[in-house]
Amino acid sequence: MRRLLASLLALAIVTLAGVASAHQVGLSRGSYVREGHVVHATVTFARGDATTLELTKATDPSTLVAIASCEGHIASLVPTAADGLEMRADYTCRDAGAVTLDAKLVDTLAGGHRHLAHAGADYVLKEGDTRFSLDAGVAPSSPSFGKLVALGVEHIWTGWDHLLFLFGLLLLSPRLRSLGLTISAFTVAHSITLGLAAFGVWTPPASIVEPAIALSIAWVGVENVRALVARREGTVAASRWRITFPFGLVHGFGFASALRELGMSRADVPKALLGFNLGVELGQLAVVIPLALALAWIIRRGKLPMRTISFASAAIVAVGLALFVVRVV
Amino acid sequence: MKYALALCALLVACHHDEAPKPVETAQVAAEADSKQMALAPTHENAAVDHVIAAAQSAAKKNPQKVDLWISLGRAWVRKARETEDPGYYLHADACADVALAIAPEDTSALGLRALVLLNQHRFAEAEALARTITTKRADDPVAWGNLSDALLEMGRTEEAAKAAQTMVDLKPNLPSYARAAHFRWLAGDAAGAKAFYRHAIDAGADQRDPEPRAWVLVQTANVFWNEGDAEGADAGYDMALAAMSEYAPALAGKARVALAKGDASRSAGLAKRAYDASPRAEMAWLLADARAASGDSEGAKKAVELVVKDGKRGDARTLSIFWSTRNEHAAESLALAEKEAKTRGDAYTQDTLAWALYRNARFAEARAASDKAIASGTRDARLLYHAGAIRIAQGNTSEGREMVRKAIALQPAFDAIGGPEATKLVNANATASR
Repeated sequence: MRRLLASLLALAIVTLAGVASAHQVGLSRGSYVREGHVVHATVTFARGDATTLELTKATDPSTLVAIASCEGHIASLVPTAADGLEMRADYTCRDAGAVTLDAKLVDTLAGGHRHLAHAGADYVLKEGDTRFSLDAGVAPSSPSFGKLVALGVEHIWTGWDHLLFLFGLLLLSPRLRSLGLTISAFTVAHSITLGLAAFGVWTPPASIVEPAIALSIAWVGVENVRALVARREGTVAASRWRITFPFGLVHGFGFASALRELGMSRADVPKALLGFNLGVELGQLAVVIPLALALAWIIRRGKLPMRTISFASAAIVAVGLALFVVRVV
Repeated sequence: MKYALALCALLVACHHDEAPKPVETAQVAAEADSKQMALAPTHENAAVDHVIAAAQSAAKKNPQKVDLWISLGRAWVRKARETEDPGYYLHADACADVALAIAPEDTSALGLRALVLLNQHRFAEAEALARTITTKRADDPVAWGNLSDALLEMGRTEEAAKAAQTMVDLKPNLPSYARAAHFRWLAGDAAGAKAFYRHAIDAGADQRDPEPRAWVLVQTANVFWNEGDAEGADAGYDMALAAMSEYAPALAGKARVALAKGDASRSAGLAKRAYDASPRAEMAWLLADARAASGDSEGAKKAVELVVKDGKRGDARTLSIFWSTRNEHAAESLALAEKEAKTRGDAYTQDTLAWALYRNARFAEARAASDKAIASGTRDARLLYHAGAIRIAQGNTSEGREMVRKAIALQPAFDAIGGPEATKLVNANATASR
């Protein structure tokens, strides 16, 4: 409730009367493509910004976007459908290596102007931060293997939905053999879909994957309850890998979203896949091993009555369904 | 495998209405641009940057959730307010774009868009959108607040006050009390304004977001300043700085007080800090005045260049009143004021237009604009001085002189050039009338 009140207050506060000091600012967009020694630039301005820049009188595009060691000329100025102006310019460079661009137009236009640059990588440029690179500079930060492992660990530790799914599995699979089978099936499955998504073969939309993960949690709870009712713990535990495999496929797509955020080049994908997946497994084992040992210890001492497992499983079902509704609605 | 099939069937059933629709390439590109803007890194390390990063992470994990994009948009608004960089409203607007692409009728998303329109000075559009929201949800205090702000900027003070009253009735809190206080101030009721600002401060604010409280403290201190209570104002600015360090409006307030007390070098230091925190024409103007008073003519010249540069880049009203105050670039100043008055009709825009017309010796038109500026009875020394000077220029000497005297009595140091000019004008007229 406290958090809700804080959110409501924040909502009201952001709308405080404070408009007197703000000013109209604009957004320009640029697309930059390299072909050998030539850089083709297409920059779109709002009408007001085009007027401020006196674009119709401009002859040298370098006053707007400068490229070191390259000479530019404006090829065309065309009005756009949205009452703007599109400038096409070509720059001839001395060599075909990486180039650094400077969106000087940002400093010339109203304070607060932003320039969206698509130059292989995407940049949002603002006053004082106007430089970006093309070609060799498009992927400046290939993450290290260690960082990828850490990212995998972090993803599993902060992904409470995955952890809840694992916990649901463990409730009825404390024996070593069944646990090994269950976790292995989950690992193999999520590795398959993680690979598919990482290599860009197929990625279902998050609107499908996220609710599916929620349903998988609910389903594990349902399975637990069913097993308890039938009092067939031994047989169920041995066959649980059949449940975890398809759901592992779904969770793999969920893991892939974290990997996609890195925006890697295709060449980096195998390394990223290996590192991230290793991190996921390490993170998973760090949770599963102590939890399984604790559960086994409790069960051996007869301190985990069936009623408690039933209640915990029902709670997992409820959380999974609630999460499903939240993610669908 | 049957489980997987069952799951697929269920998901397909749940998402039957979310099948991909054919869209124009341009629309897809625009949506991608919006996401890029919304998810842009800030490369800074203030508390608000962590809030933005967390909101971005949540939105990326669950991109179909409208609420997450709204939260992110509000974080960008907070960043814009704290840094006074209006460019961050573009990022907030991008969040509204993404949210409205998912749910075109979502009132929270529309509210975010209205707020952005307000801050981009697109008041008529902001008004229309705010009215749409209040029609759908008459109990939305934020929408009434946005409507009030838009109407006030367009000079429709009575309608604006009514909308603000509805906001206070729906939710008496810091933002609504602050609006009520501002209307009291505009109506010439300084005591009422102070009382409402007190309520606003007492209503409290989110401890994790200190800017709104700092802003209200500065507004309160400004009332003290405009009443000639420099000590009271200074204490208020100190409280604002305690709430939020290096808060530019508070530093600027302290710089004005120091300048009024004759401590020009301290004033210049404070004004420089204010300009560094918020590089805007208004701050550069204060810096120019402080440096000139401290004998730093070269520094003052550079600050004047900043006023012109920053004013031309997006603050026409400040540049116009700056030039008119200094009696420079009269024609250009008038053009800027006239352009501004086309979209804004509030008291300060009308005063800017009036003073630009005065400097161009178009006294009848200046009088009409000035009458609008003081129509609600605002007790602001600058507005009163301008109104008085215009009347004197028209030959209405006694009324004009009385108004200028009132201005000087309220706050003789209302500005470094206007204050002494007002005193000179009263004295000259007094001599002439003898």
